[in-house]
Amino acid sequence: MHCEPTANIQTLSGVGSIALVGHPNVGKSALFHQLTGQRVIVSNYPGTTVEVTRGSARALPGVPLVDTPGVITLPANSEDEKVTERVLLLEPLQAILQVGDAKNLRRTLLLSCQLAEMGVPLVLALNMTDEARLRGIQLDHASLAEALGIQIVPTAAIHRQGVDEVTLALQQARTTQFQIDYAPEIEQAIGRFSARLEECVLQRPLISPRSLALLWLGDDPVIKEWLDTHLDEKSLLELSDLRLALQSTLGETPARRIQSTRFAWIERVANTAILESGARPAGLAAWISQLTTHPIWGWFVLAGVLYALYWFVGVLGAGVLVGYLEENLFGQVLNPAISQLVYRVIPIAWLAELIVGPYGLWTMGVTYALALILPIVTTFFLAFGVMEDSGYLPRLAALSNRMFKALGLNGKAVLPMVLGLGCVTMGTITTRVLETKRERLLATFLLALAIPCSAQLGVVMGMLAGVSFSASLIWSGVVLAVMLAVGWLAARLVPGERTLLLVELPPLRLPQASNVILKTLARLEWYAKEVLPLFLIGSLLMFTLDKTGVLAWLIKAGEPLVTGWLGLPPAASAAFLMGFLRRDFGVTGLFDMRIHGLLSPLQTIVSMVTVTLFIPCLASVMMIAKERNLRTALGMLVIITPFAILVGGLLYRLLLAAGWS
Amino acid sequence: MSDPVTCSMCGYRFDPQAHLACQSCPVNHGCQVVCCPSCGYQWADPQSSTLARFAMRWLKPAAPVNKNTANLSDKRPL
Repeated sequence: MHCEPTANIQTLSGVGSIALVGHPNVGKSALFHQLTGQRVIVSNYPGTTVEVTRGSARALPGVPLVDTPGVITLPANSEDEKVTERVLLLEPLQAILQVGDAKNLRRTLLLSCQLAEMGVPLVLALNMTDEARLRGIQLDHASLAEALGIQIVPTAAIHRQGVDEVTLALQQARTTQFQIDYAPEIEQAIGRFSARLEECVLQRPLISPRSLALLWLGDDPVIKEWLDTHLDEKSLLELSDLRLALQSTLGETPARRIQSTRFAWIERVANTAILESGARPAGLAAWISQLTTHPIWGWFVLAGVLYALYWFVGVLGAGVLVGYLEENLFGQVLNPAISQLVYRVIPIAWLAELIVGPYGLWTMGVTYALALILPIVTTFFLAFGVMEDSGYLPRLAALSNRMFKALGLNGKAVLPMVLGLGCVTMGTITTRVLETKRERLLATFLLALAIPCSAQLGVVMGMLAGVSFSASLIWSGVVLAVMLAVGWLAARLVPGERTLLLVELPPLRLPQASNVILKTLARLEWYAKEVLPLFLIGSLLMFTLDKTGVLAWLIKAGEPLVTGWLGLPPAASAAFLMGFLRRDFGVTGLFDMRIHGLLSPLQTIVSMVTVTLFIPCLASVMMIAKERNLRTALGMLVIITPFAILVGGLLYRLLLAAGWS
Repeated sequence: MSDPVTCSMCGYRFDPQAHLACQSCPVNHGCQVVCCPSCGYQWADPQSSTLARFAMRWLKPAAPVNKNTANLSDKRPL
């Protein structure tokens, strides 16, 4: 059903708010902001850490709007879904606005039929119609409206298309008589549940008893909580028996039978409503796409990607480009000239050393940032841009999800891990998507322990490329093994319900060179702004420690561990100290030692593994403290640092026994 | 309203200027980082980078058109 915009907008007369409900990633928040403007209140839903946004509709004065968290399916599984369901169950609503994805009608209809069954006035905004049109998808909105008995409004919220029509449809929103006919046994159970509810509960929620019954039969935790507080023990027991008896009659869980009936209805409606389903990916791209997420071949593809990275970042970036910049330009031209100039202009020895001494702002801070890091991160950011634009990253998330699942970890934990490859600090924030405190703690710990950020990954790969490809494989193998072992152990210590990972896989495509270059330039500018000041502060810190004699003392104090246990030269202590400030700063210090022949291949691998397992950077420690608490952040620091040294030492002995030197 | 961007991780399209959290951030001014509101993936936005904007004079970014996209309906839950 299509709606025409009108200038004469009337206000809704009912009491209560309008809830926006939909799957994640369908543009629900975009439509919410179009309807409300900027004046909204974001707050945690009572008793949870899930954020709910509330505002008032601009064109419907006095009507509150609530933007609920995305739901994948009902009955609720995640904390987000529970909050959305609580809004539907407990808040006074005058209408529900479902925001659906026009590109994915079947998924949208699964939620539509459940919302329509609730008996609350409902409007469906089929969003992203612009993208659906680009893909050649055409829908028959009239047949959809007829099937559901509600108004369907096509929208493209991000372009403000269809927003006025949504407002108008909301004004005319009405309750639908829609219902799906389930198996007779289920219908009978629904009837008995509804009758019991009529008898025992005076203040029922707004949603229909039929819908409540279906949620109860689906073993929904929110409706269970609600019934626990509204029914006496005898009635609760009776309802539990009812569900158990139904399960034994059906030979499967009622939830499964209810869903399969809904799927059959969706198939019928979709077959009529989808006029054009759009082109499907085909040919070579589709074949490669399948290969990248294949449980076996996917890992071979990943190995190929890593090998390509090794050549591009390691051999070209860290070998050829660093060789030219560090050894030729800085080593032979710039640094000697600047040193000469500084010593001539500044007569105070310590001040001159502050600039061009061994820990000088120029010789360490600037040289590390420009001559060592810049060529490596440039090549790495170029490669990362290609991976992003080709659509490989979500496939990597899908592939690693299988591994996480095999370990018994929550599927959603994959996302923060893969995001951590971009920036561990941001990955730490993303652990919010996990449902329980234990899962969030576990994912944060794994991130802090074993996930190197993009900049660090680039420098590590560059440095290991100077040794050999097998060195890169040993490093990857050890870090992966540590992550899997810790993850496996933690999953056993803190078991929890596994949830699905749902990511939209974009098509594999050939990246546009201009896009990749622009992204790389933007990343380089951001990296320079963030890293250069830190490198200068780090150099100043090292200079101060050196001049006060603290550095010499620390190196001596660290000798039993650094030299005795890890088998590294004593000077590596200084690099480890720098690593506390920022892991890639420490790695660069080690890289500098390697270039100057102070680290053997064996020592290079050991030092890289040890630094990788360190806490990523000060920013990430602060973020852990913010997201969890200071005690947790300090606790992780206390656990991770000795653990990193322990693994490094064991690896040293293992490689030594294997004949490495 | 600025041009919508597409997240490389989850494919979500959004307007980076419409972020309420960003607008209330005290260090938002000059911030180059875009964060996907759907999955949390972040990247440096070429539109906010002086270097990238300068390079745009010679390099025109290609329009993000998602044709023939595989949807969730094409994949079974992992």
